[in-house]
This record gives sequence, C-alpha cells and structure tokens, in this order.
Amino acid sequence: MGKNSKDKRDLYYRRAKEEGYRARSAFKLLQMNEQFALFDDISKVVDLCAAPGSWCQVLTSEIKKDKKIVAVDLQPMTPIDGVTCLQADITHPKTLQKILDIFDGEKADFVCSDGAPDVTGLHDLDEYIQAQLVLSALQLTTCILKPGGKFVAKIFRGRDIDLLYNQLNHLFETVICAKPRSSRGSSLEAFVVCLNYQPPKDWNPQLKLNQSTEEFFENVDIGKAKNVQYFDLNDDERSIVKFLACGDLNDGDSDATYTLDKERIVLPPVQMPTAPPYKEALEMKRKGLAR
Amino acid sequence: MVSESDNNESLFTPLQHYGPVTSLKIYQDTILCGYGPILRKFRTSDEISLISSQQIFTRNKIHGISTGFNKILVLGGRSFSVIEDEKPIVEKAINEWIITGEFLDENTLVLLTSHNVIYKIDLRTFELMDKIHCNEKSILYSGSIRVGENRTVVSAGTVMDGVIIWDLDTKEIIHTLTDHKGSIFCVKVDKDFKYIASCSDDRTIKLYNFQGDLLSEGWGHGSRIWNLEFFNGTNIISMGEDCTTRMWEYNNTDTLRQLEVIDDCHLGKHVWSGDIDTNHNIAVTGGADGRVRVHDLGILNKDSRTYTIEEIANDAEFTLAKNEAIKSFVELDSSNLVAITTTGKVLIFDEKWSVVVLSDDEIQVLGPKAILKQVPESNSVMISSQNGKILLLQFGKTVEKTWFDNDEFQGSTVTNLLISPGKEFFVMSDIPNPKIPFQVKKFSTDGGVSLVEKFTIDQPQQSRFTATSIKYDPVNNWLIIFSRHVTMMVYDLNEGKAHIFKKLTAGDTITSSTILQSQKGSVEFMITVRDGIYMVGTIKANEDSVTVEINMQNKLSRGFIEGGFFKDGDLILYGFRSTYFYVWNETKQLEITKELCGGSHRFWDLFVGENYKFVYLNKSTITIVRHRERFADYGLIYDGTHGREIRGLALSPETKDGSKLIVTASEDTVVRLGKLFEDGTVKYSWCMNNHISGMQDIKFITNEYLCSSAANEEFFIWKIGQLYDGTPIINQYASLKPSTSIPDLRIMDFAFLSNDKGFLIVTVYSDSQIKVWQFDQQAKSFQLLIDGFYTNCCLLNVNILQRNNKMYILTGATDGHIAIWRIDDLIERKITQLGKPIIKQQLHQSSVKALKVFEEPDHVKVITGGDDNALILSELKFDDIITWELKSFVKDGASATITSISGYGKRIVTTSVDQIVRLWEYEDGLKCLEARYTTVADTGCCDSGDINGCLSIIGGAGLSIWRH
Repeated sequence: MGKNSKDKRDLYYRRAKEEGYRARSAFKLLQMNEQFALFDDISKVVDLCAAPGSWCQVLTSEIKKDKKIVAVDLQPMTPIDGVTCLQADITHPKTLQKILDIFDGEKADFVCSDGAPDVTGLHDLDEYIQAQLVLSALQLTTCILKPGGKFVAKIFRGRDIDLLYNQLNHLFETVICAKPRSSRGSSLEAFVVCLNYQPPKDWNPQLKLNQSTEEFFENVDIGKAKNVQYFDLNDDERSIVKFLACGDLNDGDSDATYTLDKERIVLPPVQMPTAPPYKEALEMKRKGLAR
Repeated sequence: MVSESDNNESLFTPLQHYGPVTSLKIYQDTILCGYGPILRKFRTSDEISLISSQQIFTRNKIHGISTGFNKILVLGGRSFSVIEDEKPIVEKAINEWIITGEFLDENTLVLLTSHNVIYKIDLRTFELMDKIHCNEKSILYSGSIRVGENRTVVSAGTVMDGVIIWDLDTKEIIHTLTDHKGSIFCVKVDKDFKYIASCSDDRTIKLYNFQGDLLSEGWGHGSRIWNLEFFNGTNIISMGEDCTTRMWEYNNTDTLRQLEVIDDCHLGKHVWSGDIDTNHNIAVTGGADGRVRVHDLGILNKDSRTYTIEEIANDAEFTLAKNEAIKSFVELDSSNLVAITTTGKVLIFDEKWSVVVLSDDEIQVLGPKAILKQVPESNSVMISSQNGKILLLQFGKTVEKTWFDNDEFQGSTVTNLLISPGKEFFVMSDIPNPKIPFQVKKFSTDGGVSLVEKFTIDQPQQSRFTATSIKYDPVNNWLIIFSRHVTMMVYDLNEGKAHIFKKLTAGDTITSSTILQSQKGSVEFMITVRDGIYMVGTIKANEDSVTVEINMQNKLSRGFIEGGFFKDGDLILYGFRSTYFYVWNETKQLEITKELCGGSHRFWDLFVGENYKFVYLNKSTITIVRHRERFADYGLIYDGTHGREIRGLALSPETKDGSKLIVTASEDTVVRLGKLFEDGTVKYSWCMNNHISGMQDIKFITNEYLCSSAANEEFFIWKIGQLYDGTPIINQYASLKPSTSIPDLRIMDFAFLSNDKGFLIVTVYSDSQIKVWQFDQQAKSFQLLIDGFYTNCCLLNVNILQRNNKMYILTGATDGHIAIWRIDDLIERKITQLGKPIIKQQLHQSSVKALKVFEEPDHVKVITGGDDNALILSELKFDDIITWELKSFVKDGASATITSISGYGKRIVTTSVDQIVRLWEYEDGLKCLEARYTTVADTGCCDSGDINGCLSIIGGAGLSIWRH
C-alpha cells in the first residue's frame, strides 16, 4: 500500500503524522481518556512496552500537574521531554526497583501497556502470548500501582478473553472492555480499562528473577486455572465485562475511507520503523544469494 | 445466556471440519495428524488412507504429538492426553501452555511448559513427580525434548532470548545460542546428540554441533520458518510461512545446500506442520489450508537422463556434422522418441539411439528447416519440408516411408505443420502469407495411414492469424483452428464455410485446445492461453449462425501456460515459471512435478501417459525426465479449504442431488466454488483469481447468479454453469466499473432484487456512499440510479425491503446505527440524489457487524449483532409512517464481537470472535437455545441451508459444518 492510499484508508494514520505523533495509537489513549478521564488527578505514570512512544507523547501533553512518567521497553526509544526512558525487561525485579527509585519510593497512579507481539497466525497461540504480555504487565503493576490506581492494556478479543477479564476482575473494582473509535472495527484489538486497584489484603506481590507469571500469581486467587489432582481437566473461570466504545462518533471512523485533497502533501511518518529481524534475509534474496 | 453444553445433549452436531493442520507425526506405519482438536490417523502405504478421526480435546487444538512405548501423547494449549490401545481417551490439563512433551520411559511423561519448566508425570497415577527448571524461565515459542539412553536434553526456543539447551538431569544450561534474531519457532537436537538445528523470525536455519559451534546456515525461506526436522544424519527438512517445504544438506560449508524446494506446498499462507520418514521414504506436511499432503522423497533423486549430442552420435554410430544438434523431437505411440537434427538426420530412441535411414536425396528435400510432428494412433511421424512436401514415416518392424506433395506456395514457406488427434485426422500446413490458403489433408488411420482428401482453406484476411492448434470434430464435421491473440476459426467442412471469432479475451497465443464434448450443433472446448488464462467455451450452431460462448475463464498466477488437459476429472495445466517447467493440478490446486530446465526458450515437450515425461533440449543435450506419481490423489490425503481466513461464504438456494453449491471467499482474494454434501463434506472444483483485493462478501442472487464485493471497488456478478460431466463451473459475468482510475474504496456489502430487466443492486462503501444500480442482463451493463452518502463513516450492511409496494433500503454502519431510505419513488421520478434517511436509529455502541432481516406480513424483524457483544431484535412497521420498536436486547449476546447471523426457519445462528456459535429463537424475543465452542478461530461468517435437515457452515480460519 502506497503512502497516499494508506492516508486515505486510515484517517488516524494521517492525523498522527500531522499532529506529530509517532504512531496512530496515540488517539486510542486520547479517546479512552475522553471516556474514562484516566488522566485526572494522576502524576506518576508507567508506560510499559512504550516504543515508539506515542502513548508517552500523549501522557506528557495531557497530564498537566507535576508529572513523573517512566517509559519501559526492551527496544531503544527516541527520548521525549519529561519522560524517563528505561530500556529494560518489564519482568525483571531491577526494572521495578528503578521505577520505584524514580518515583522516590512512591507508587504509581496509572500503568498502561500498548504492547503486542508479532502475530504468528495461530490464533490460540497469539491470544495466549498476548495474555502473557498483559499478565507480565499486570505483575509489575501489582508491585507498583497504588491501591485505587488504574491499569490499561491492549488485548485481542478471542476465545479466551473472558478468562483474562475474570482474572482482572479479581484485582480491580471495575474492568471494562474499551474499543476506541481509532482502533479498527475489523481488528480484534481492544483495551482493558481497569479502575480502582484493590489488591487482596495481606498480599505482598514480589517480582523475582526466574519466576513465571503462573508462579507470581500462584499465592493469590485471581481465578487462574490451577493444577488439580491427577491433572484432570478443570473448568476455567470466565466472565464477561462491560463493553464501551470510546471517542466521539464525529471523531472519525478508522474503518472509513476518506477523500483527500489532490494537492495535499503526503507527510513522511514521524518515526521510521525499526529494522526487522529478517533484514539480512531480504538482502540475501535481493542479491540472489537465496532463492 | 446459555453456557456451553455438553457434547452429548447439544442441539448442534458437528459434521465436518476443515482448518489449520497444527501437528503431524509419522509413527510406525501411521501418520498422526493434529487437526484442530481432532486427531486423524492415516495408514502409511502407497495407498495411504484415513483410518480414524477422533476429537481428543474439547477446546484446544493439538499443537504437538509425541510417540513411544506404543503410546501417543497429544498436547495443545494446556491440554494433553496419552492415547493407548484399548484405553479410553481422557483429556488432562496443567495450568499453563504446553510446548512439547516426550515419554521418558514406559511410565514417565515429561511436559515442557511455555515458561521453560518441565513437569515430570507418573503415567500410572498421573501424579506429579517433579517440576524441573534450569533457572531461566524465559517465555517460549517452541521447544523439544531429546530422550537418549543416558541423558535427556531440553531445547527451548524463546520469544526474545535465543535458544537455551539444558540438561534435564543436571538442570544445567549447556548452551545459550543467540545467533538468531527474533523469536525462535523451532529447535531440535538430532537423535545422536551431535547436532542442534533451529529456525526463527530471521528466516534462517542454523545448524550447530552439540558443542554449540555454529556450523552452517540455510538461507532461502521467504518468511518465518515454523518447523524443522533432521533426516539422514545432518539433512534437514523445513517448512514455513512462505508456503514452501525445503530440504537441506550440510556439506561442511557455512551454507546449507538446498536439495529441494516444494513451492506452493499448501494454499495461501503457512505450512504449519510436517514430518519426515526415510523408511517409508515420505515427508508429510500440513497447512493453514487444512490440507495434509504426502510427498515422495523420490523427488530427491529424479528419474532423469541427459544425453549429449556426442553420446547420441556415438550410440547411433554416425558422424556429427559441424555444429550439429538435436532440433526437435516427438513421441511415438510406442513411447519411443523420434528426433531430427539440424542437418536433417532422423533418430529414434528406444533405450538406445539409432538412425532412421533416409537417402541423401530425401534429406536434401526435407532441408534444414524441416518440421517434425507426431501422427496420432499409428506410431508414425510426419516431416514437412519448408516448401510443403511431407514425408510420413510409419514405424513398425521396418520403417515405411510415404511422400505427400503440396501445391507450390509461390515462394512462401511452411512455418508450421498442425495435426489434429483422432482416427481420422487432418494435417494443415500454415503459411505466413495470408494470401495463400492453408493446405489441408485428411487422413484415415484404418489399416495404416492413408490420404482421404486434400483441400485448401482460405486464410482469414488478417495478418495476425497464426495457427497454433487444430482439432477435428467428427460429429459436426468441423475443423477448428486456434490461433494467436485468442482467436479461433470454426471451419464447417460440409459447407466449406469459415466462422472467425477474434480475441475471445485479451491475451496472447492459444497454446492448447481440447474438445470436451460434442453434440450436433454444440461443441464444448477448453483452451489455454500462454498469459496464464484457461477457458471453457461452447461453439453453438443453428441454421442462421455459429457463435462461441465463454462459460468459464480463469487466470493462473503461476506463470505461462503451455498446455492443459483433463485427467481423471482433474484439470492439469503445464507451463513455465521463470526457469522452471511445472505441471499443475488446477482442480486439486497442487504442483505435480517441476523441472529446473532454464525456462521456455528451448525446444521441449510433455508426454502424458500413465506417467509424465518431460523432454527438453539444452544447448547440445537432450534431457528426458520421467515423473511417476507414487500416491493416489497426488498425495493429497486430506483436502481442505482456503489458506487464509474465510471472509465470506454462501450456499445456493436450491439443493440438487443431495448437495448444495458452496462459494467461499478468503482474505487472499480467492473465490472457491464447490459442492456441500449432506454429510458436511465440501468438494471444491474451482479456485477463481478474478478479485485482486481484500474480499468483503459473497452471496447468491439466484441459483444461477451470485455477486461478490471487495476493496478497490471490485464488484462482480458471477454466473454458475455446468461442465460436460456435471461439474459446476463459475464465470465472471459482469463487473462494476470503479468510479476512479485508482479505486481505493471497499464495497462493504450489497443487496439485490431480481426484476424484469435483470437485477436491482445496492452497493455500500467504506466512505459512507450508497449507490443503487439497475443491472441490465441483456447489455450486461450497470446504470446508476441513485447515489448518496450516509454520513462519513464506513457502512457495513445493506438490505432491500419491499413493503406495501414501496421499496426501502436498510443499512448498518460502524457508528452503531441502522438507517432507512425509501427508493422506489426516487427511481420512479428519476431523482438521483438519495437524500437523508427516513429513520436513523442507534442500536449498538459501535459497529453493526451483522444484520439479518425477516420480512413478516405486518412487520419486518431486524436482528443485529454488534462489536459491543450485543444481539438486538427490533421490529419495523411500515404504516403511514415507519415506526421502530425494540423487542429484545441481549447485552452479552457473546463475550466478544458478534460477526454474523444466518437464519433458517424460525431460528438463527450467530458467530462471534469468542468462537462460540449460538443458536437462537427469535419469535418471542431472543432466546438462546444452545451455545457451542467452535475450533474455527477468527470466526467471521456463516450461512445455513437445508440438505435433508438444517446445516450451518461456519467460516473463519477454517470451515466447520454443523447440523442442527
């Protein structure tokens, strides 16, 4: 797809470039904020899987008060004023400690994650990996989020999404499935908006090295499937949460095609994509060294 | 809401399922296949056959199969099951995703979890013996366990951190291999613990010795590599997203040598699984297309012989002239080759080359530009000289020679000699000068070849008629001459009258022709066109005229087509793709064989008998390659559907001979036509490539016509027909011209109504446009009647309603609203502006994904399903004013997006991306009768119909057929 046709196909892609956002996903967070007033009365924020940084851009511009924003990603990220970028693993205890240090030992008001793995095409596996990513973000969140805090994460709605809803319901007063209008209707993508963090009493979550998400949540009941005697198949706890479409109907439709002015200048993306793992393989093919 | 019910008491009975083949394993004499939650077993012999199909897991797909000690371990998601003869199958589960598993011994099972932890389980009691880890709990995409005599090694392929090889007994990490970039999708240790092979996101295969030194890399896969396996020591088979299966050899260099590539191993995208077995000399592969294919490892040593001209001269004991080479060849009925050299020597090959003795005078007459052709049913050849003299050579115990003269060509020369097949055959000399008629001779093969008559046919008075193929139809006594530029001539031998049909389609040369069926006044034929087109047509003759109708036309995206024919009911096509010659089964959609011959610029021919024999010249050599098909159905042991997600499907209104026609359209723009049978089996016959962009929907208008829409403003009307043998065929009948030269709108949905001129059609667009068209069936033209915009959001659904002699359109959009316009008065008064809707009512928070209408006598029921999980029943009354009333609102009609609604009788079926199919009653409000899990992921479309009871067909990443 050429740059111009992508502009027509995707209103938010074009708008992101015009407004200087590094990715169109900025609008998803903005629209969720419109709906849930996520940024009211918050100052300490952790943005997980933050690269290329469009959510950080939104956070720095929308949070008005004395803000402290930490962005964490395994990938390097171009710095943003007012954001402390950590190139680190979100499952590592040291990462947690670094964030706590930045917050002077205080806890966060808001944790968000727009992370997603490269999908394979095996839907059950992709959904599982995405759920693992959410749980990884959640385990860090439980260590760093103050009671009453908020958590937002990207999900894929599929066959097991009701498992994840149920698990989040154990930790937050309100869990909502939010679909911003800037997220394509044809995509399985949505977001969980979790409000009012209420950790179980006497639970002291601790990130440890070499601890899987299963082990992390082992001593707290969030409704995850357990190993039962003789490994008999047990039912999963599932629940459905409220669905809310976010963003004004007049905001623009990410599924619609828009007519563009012919004289219009096609802007380059704010940030170029990073080199993929198969860059060398492409070069080999081009040189005719592989067929 | 109803929760999922037990399988026993379900109102839904699954009949058949097609979907991704997620695991394969050859064990003893059985091929074990993980087909969604179903385990299919096939017997491995040259007559490979399905032994059993059994659902093992309730929800999870079988992602892995391991064997040993006469037990089979199947696993997937967090489920596993150990299958032993005579014992009931029990689904077991742990609390996390299982990557792989193996039997340590008769009584011990080990499972590797996605957090790189091993569960050691006592198989007698199913008690956990131990949980073992190596202190590195990275999340894994892949892994394998190699159990040896003295040690057990775990290979873990991580999402981010390379490969971890660790010892199960010592729990020590042996190696952390970080040469790959990106996720690791497969890693294996060979059976002797000497080598490690891995593959990843970076599209390479890496071979290490067990000491952890990188030995060699395999480059070639065009995208991610999903699976690999060792065979014959250090040889490796790999398969991946690029739909290829490749075999590699380690030859002690830093690059693995590619032994073989099986291109288009599966349809669409992804070869997910595979295994190899050198005892049976087979490889087996499974794809996203739901197909299971067996490949003969014989392809690694092809039956191929090459002879240099020197070897031939030596063999046949003749002296080579300077620069002498083979010029062309033909095959005799006896399957011996006859070849002619550049100096006019005629040779015959029967395991040994020998010279067919011609006198010097004869060689002189034939000259250096002689044309050699095979004569049908007589073990003979004809050789034409440049000036038209023809030498017939009949090969028996001796070689019999006969000469035939032609008229003088006034200095022009013969450029081609065309011979029709059959007991009575025609020989035509083509002359480029259009003023000189074609010289035609009719021969009989009764008791040897004899000339029956000689005549001429005036060439069409156009310079571009170059004959490429002729056929004789004895029923009508027609000689049919095919030419370049997809032009043909029907020559009525009774009246001596020619009928010319120019440019049947845009394209180049007709490369082959076949008469499929002939009746008095009607001949069905098939032609192939070099550009990649094949078409089926009918020549129809009545007292006044002769016409040609094209019943079907399709384009192959594989390269050039040089010929085609039907064999055992399958359409076989062959031609060249870059430097390859290929033979392709178009019906079964698979490559039968291929040969790297350097491309089409050479003399070559394909001879088809029981086997395929491809012969080609390369400089001064001749190569004979034989392909023997080892397996029935070309090794396609289980057929599937599409290799990409199915986005639209439809069943024909009528049921005929216990089946309905089914059309399915997938994300990769392919439309397939087939039959759906009472037992749920789908048998496809065609795979149409007319669409070039993302499919949106496909629907039947009548039993004979259907429509499909896609991005790029593609909208086609298709016509259904029948081949001579009853096979249904489909042809693009008309297409809507896009509104701009660079169309970028998606036609999201359409509605239609038959009327006296043809069809009234409404199309709705991704930019909120609504267009009403009159399709004129006579002229095959679309006339735009009404045009307008809804808002600026994307429309998703449209229906036409007819109430009290008035006509309305009803739409659903991404803004969650339905809207209604009246259009009959606009059409009547020739008003072309649609204007504002009469009713605009919000039903859903966001997209109205599915919309189904039931027209009752006094009202219209509208059932909508949304992205917001809600299912809503509302009623529209069309009195003086239109009123809308909410009848039933189910907030949680699904736990995620409702994607389609199909109706049959007084019930509807809904699909949703939570993979639960629900059956509802709607008469007195929406009532869910049944909810059942489907293994079809990305569940996006469904249709229902009656074949001795109601069937529903559910599409997404696969296709399931259920009865209810």
